[in-house]
Amino acid sequence: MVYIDDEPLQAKILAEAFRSEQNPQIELIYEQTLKTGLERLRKGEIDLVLLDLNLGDSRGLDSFTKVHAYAPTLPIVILTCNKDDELAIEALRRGAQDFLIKDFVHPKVVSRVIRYSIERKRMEEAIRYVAQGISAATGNLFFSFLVKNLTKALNIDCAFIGELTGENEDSVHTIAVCVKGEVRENFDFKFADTAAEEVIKKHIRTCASEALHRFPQDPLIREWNAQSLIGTALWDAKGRTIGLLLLMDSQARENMQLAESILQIFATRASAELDRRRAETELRLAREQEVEIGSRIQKTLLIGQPPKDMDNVEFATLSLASQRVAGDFFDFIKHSDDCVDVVVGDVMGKGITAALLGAATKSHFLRAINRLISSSKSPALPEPKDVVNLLHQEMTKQLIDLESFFTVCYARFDFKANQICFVDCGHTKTIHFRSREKKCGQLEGVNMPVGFYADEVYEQASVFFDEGDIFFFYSDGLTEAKSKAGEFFGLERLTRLIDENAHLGMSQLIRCIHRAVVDFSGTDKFSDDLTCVAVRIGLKEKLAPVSHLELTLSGNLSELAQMRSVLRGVCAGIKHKGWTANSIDELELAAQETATNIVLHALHENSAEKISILVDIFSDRVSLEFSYGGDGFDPSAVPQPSFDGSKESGFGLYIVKNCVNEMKYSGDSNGKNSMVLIKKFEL
Amino acid sequence: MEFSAEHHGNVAVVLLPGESLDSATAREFRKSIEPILQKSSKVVFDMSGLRFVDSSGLGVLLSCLRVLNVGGGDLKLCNMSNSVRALIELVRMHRIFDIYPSKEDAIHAFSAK
Repeated sequence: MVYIDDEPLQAKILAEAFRSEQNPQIELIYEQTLKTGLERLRKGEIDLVLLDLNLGDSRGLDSFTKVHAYAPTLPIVILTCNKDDELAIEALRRGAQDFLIKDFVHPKVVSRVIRYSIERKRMEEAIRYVAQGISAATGNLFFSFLVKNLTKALNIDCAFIGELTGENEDSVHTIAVCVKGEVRENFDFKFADTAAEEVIKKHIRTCASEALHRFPQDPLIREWNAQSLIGTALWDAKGRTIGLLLLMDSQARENMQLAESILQIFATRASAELDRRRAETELRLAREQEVEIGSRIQKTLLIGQPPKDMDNVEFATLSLASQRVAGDFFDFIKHSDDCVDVVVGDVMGKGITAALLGAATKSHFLRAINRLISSSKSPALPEPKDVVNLLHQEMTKQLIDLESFFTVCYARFDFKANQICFVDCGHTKTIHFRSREKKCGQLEGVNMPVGFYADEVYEQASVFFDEGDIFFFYSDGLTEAKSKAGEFFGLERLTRLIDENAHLGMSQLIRCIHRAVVDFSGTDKFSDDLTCVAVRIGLKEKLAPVSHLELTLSGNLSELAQMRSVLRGVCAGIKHKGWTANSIDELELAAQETATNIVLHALHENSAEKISILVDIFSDRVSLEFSYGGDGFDPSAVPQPSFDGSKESGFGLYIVKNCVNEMKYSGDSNGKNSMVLIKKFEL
Repeated sequence: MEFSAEHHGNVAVVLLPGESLDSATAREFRKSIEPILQKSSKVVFDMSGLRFVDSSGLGVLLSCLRVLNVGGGDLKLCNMSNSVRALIELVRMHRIFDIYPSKEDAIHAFSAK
């Protein structure tokens, strides 16, 4: 230590007294002025400064301030006169470790003060060092910083933080290991018969020397040649031990107190971090599991299969799970060839709860129908409203308890009366495309969702349908799909799409709508389930295409010969009275004219552009759908050709119209065009 | 584009090349036939090789007819397949073109007055 005092006599007395002290060994270096004192400090290897506040070249607190600024990590003890206690206390406040009063200086007191001051300062510095290191760190960084800084601050060889693992919680998995200042790889070990076991069971354990002797079975002590060790358990918010922090040194240590104190201070923070880390891992695993379960529930329990063998109606469905499963469900109940029920519903909320409730609701419907049928005296089917009312009775109490509800549209298609009889309970309005007017309307519903209101009585409504009419059921995941700009897909857009594509098969229609939603939102992952059921009332024959083919061409005239060749090949396979060689020629010509127009006038012969051609062969017609980008087209703006031979062009459209039964062009606002040609089998 | 032209007296008979006269091939054909249209005023197109003609091909035939008419000459078509015939009739060009079942009939028609 350095003793700075302007009275050399005092120094002599002290030096003499210290010589007889053994613990600690104090070597006194005497300097007479502040200036020389600071110079000596610069040379280093000083553990403490004993400073007289009354010096020749500096007075009062000034001296203290200067020394403290010069060596902020050194403990300073000040020497004052009797009357200067205020000065002394002020110095303490500013960071001095302790003070001594000159007239009452006894060597034993001084040596004790010196000893404690050094210890205390070391502890302060160690804490500050470690705290600074971990202050901003979280997660795994926190743990590695902690062990590293602890070993450095306490001058200890090895340290690790581990968490309890194993089925019986009999092992430790380290999260951070530091040996001789370097971060090492993590490892696992069973802690039976080791020092770690004692730490875990007794919460804190220190061993000042001969650690191997105490824990002969401990492989770590052996490997690290540890003589002394100190450890503390780490615990969760409930007080259960979840891990430990263990430090080991190759030298025996006399004084473990400093290490113990510091360990206890940081144990709390380390525990909190460990607890949080475990909670995060558990949460992540739970979430992953939920998505997995949800997806399976959806596939097996929430969606039903439409009847396939019906002549008078065509079904198509779309069921796209969102990233978290939700409660969309649908089902089909075929009572007879003339009567099919469709149920489309949406349970409020997301996650497994909603999905399970959806599955339960679906089965409740079946139960309600069966119950009504078996308890009824008449052979007639129970009315849709009776089914829903019974369902409501059975489920509402549960739903109110679960604080959930569901919307549903339960619709019965009666092909004898050509009517749809439906109970709409707060569900999205079903779209009804009328083939006569070629326009969409909506089915109006009057009821509340199920589970809202215990006393609700459900009413049904009926609407006539015609051949070619389409009913489109959907969930709000569809209309509420958002674009990147935050706009909703909306009912209008959906309605327009159906208007424009009503001539397609129901699977094609759904594909078309799916494409449109994906394009609109710029992604194929949605935050809510996308569900729709499309129903078309049709002729008493199969409406799905018998065969389907897709071609792709570039915007290049040279590929059209290939297109014609494929088309001829496909059409040659049609065996029907109303389909002749002439029919094939005409369709070929119409396709050629259409494709030529597209390449020349829409794509401007840009080979990079593509035309996709969907060829569908039905039982009564062939349909060609050309999809392409580029410029749009207004069929009404094309003038009639001149037949007097005076004009060489302008025949294209006229030829097409006369070679096929229907030609329909549609273009959407995204620059996608579609031209559909339909050629029927003549009868 | 290569094709053969035979001369029967002052009538040039051209066997139209390839299987189809359509939007992909029409332009090139029209360019290649120009010298013959300039040289002869009596031209017969033998269409026995053609299986497919579209409106572009039709336009080119019309163009050839007009060039020859302007020069005081004429174009006659022969050996048309059924499907090509059907197209010609659809756009009512069968009244504009002279169509013959065989090469000889077409050549003969130039001499008869």
